[in-house]
Amino acid sequence: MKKKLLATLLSASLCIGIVSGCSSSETTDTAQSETSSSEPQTETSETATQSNTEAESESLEPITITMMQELFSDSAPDLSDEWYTYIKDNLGVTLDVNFVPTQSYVDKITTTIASGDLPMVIAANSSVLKNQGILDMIADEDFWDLTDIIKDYPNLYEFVGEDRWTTSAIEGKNWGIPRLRVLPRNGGVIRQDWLDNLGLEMPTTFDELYDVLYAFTYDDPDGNGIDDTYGVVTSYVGTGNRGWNGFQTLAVSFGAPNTWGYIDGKMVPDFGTEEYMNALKFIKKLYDNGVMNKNFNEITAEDRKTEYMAGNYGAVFCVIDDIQGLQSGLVQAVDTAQSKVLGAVTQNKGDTIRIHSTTGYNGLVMFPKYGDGAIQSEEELRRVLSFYDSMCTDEYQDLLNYGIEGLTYETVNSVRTLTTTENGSLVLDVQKGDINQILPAADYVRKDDDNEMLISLYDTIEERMDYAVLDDSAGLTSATYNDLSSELDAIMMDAAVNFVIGSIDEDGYWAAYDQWLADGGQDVIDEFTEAYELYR
Amino acid sequence: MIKNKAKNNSGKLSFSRSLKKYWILYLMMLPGLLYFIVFKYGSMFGLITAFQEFRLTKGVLGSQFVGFEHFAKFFQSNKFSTLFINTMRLAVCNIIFFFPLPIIISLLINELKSKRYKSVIQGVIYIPHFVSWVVVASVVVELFNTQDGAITQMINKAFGTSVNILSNENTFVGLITGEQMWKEFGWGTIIFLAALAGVDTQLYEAAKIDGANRWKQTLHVTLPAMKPTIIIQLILRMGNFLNTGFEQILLALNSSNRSVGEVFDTYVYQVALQNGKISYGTAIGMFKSVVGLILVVTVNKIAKKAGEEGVY
Repeated sequence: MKKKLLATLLSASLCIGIVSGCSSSETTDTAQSETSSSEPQTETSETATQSNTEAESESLEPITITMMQELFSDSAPDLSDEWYTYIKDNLGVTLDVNFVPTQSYVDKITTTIASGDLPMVIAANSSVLKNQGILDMIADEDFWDLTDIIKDYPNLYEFVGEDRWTTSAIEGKNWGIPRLRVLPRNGGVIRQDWLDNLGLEMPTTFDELYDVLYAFTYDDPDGNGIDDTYGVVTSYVGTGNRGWNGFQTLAVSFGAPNTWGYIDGKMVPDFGTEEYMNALKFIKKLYDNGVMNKNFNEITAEDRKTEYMAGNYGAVFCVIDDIQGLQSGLVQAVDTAQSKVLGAVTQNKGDTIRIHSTTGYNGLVMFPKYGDGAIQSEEELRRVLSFYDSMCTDEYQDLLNYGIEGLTYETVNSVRTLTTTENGSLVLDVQKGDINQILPAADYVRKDDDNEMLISLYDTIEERMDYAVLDDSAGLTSATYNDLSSELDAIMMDAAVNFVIGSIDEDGYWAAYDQWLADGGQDVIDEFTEAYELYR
Repeated sequence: MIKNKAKNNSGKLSFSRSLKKYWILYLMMLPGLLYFIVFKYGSMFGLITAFQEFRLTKGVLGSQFVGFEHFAKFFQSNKFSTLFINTMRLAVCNIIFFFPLPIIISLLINELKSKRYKSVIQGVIYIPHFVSWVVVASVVVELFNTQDGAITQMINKAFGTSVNILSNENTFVGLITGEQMWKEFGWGTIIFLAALAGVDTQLYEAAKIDGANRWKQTLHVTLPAMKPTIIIQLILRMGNFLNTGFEQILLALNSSNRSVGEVFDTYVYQVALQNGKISYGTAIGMFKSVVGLILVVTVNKIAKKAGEEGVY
């Protein structure tokens, strides 16, 4: 009797195993369909070598370059489309790109290294560069060291610029091509139409900023008679968020260093300064008075954009080049809405403006040496680099920015205008996808058909360039930080969030800072100080 | 008696002859066997990395051995006690609040008269199991988020007090256990209902003749019949005691509840896959499994001592 029972039981649990096995395979299926987008390319690469024998004009021999990079949009581009064919026909290069969804990119890198399947080129974003597997590979020189080679490629060298070759070097060596980003990138976007409705001016001081956001919340800026508006929306759910989510932007404006500052003979993290505390108090004031969203520690970065685009918030902390996407989303909800880059704020009128700056690059495009599919010889590396060099010429930068005439853009009165598809996206974007992330792309490009908003955005960027406060730790490494970064960063993220929502007070915040020091922060300070004095 | 005879007979058969005779049964066993060999035993090979300074590029055979260094590092780190306490808290809550739920539900379902109604109920309560945690988490955020969650606002309007469920150390355990209960209580009834189906109806008839009412029948017939199943389920559950559900917790974590919410599973994910410290992550995962094994063995022993049938 009992044996029989055990048997029923086991067979029942086996059934469960099978059924739940089915349900979980759904998730892996989608993952596979994402990666399988690279399959058709193996076919095209064969046809490529054939068609290229016709294109004899190219002196360099044809090559298929395998790549791996993040996919930010919903679907990967079709690599047999005209845009890719153009590169194949003109440069003899077939791009075989494995687009990996951004959520699982870091995991994918780890597993790809483990299986020895690294392609010839990978895009390593800042999280990937913190991955132990990548750090080990750098230490073992499993990537090609570009330090002495890059000068042989003048277009590429000039394109990146000497400054960013220097800042993107890891302990003096260039392990990849930096992916260029605008320096004064972090800031905010504000509803110009709400400012106009309430008869307010663009804020220039913290007090004015507070007053404007307060008015957005309580003075019915959209004029519908319902109390349904808020001042500002942001999100803080990951340690990397604080760059763009207002915390560092405001802290730097309050006078804190950008991430790390060399002050009085030692390196100081921004969150250990009184100025950072002032910024936190300012954010807390926004939070306490209902001006900022209460769920900033629960919603993702994407959610916060959605909230702004729904039209209930008067401002959003973001990277300022997001304004185009934000505005186009916003007008779909509120057709009279007008977004503008939030002006720089200072403590008192007339103070020197301080703008939080990125490092000028976001991760590296790296060339693995290790693995069967990687770049095996210097000859091969030079072939790949010469492709990158060609991509930096004006002709191919135009290909990146405008695409192919008649297909992705039309020239009217010598103004190149990008064509759009039926559903409003640019044909160019559909054709080339996110490939800019791994090819040499400029941090910003003034295009012929820029609208007023974009022109003013680029003006703002250029204005702010002079006020950008740089991170003194850029390019420096600390062994302790490499080891403990995620834990140390989490301590200070949690402290900042909990201070703002009021679950700890100022003493609690400094207690958390002491904890940070004790858990390894002090070693990080010492190591960065030493590295700073060595390399600067 | 018949059973014993059969056993003796088959015991005499040599393996090859038994294979010939019962080949279809062996064939049916094959997929399950392969599953365990490939996904359970095969992957145990990777445990070696817990004792190495594992380099992805050098592989398991090429990496340097460091003995118990990673274990020592983990036990000494101040993360250990936090993770341990957090995991235990969730695991104990799971056993106390979640484990009895499917038993109670299946008893209730068992009492239903209408067959149709019974199968509809069963079908409906299985559905949440098939909803992925990502979906559950986003629904929960929609309902409970502090700014404009539907339920948060309802409570806000009705009582004038604001509640904070997602970013609160005190509500985290309740949130996680509640989500688990909602998602899995129906699914958990399957095994217990299977056990109930095996109860001899004569026992009920006999009990009725003795004048037992429904409650007494449940107490003295149904529950004793279910007891072995419950105990085996409990023992098996012990093996997964420290598996607190990785996705679910990862999705619910934020700055305000991390101090109570970070558990072994999420930490292993962060350390091994995000930071790429495979060896350290494997060591932590292995520690967890060893604890699970010890728990299974201990509980099984206790069950046997108490005169119950264990899992082996």
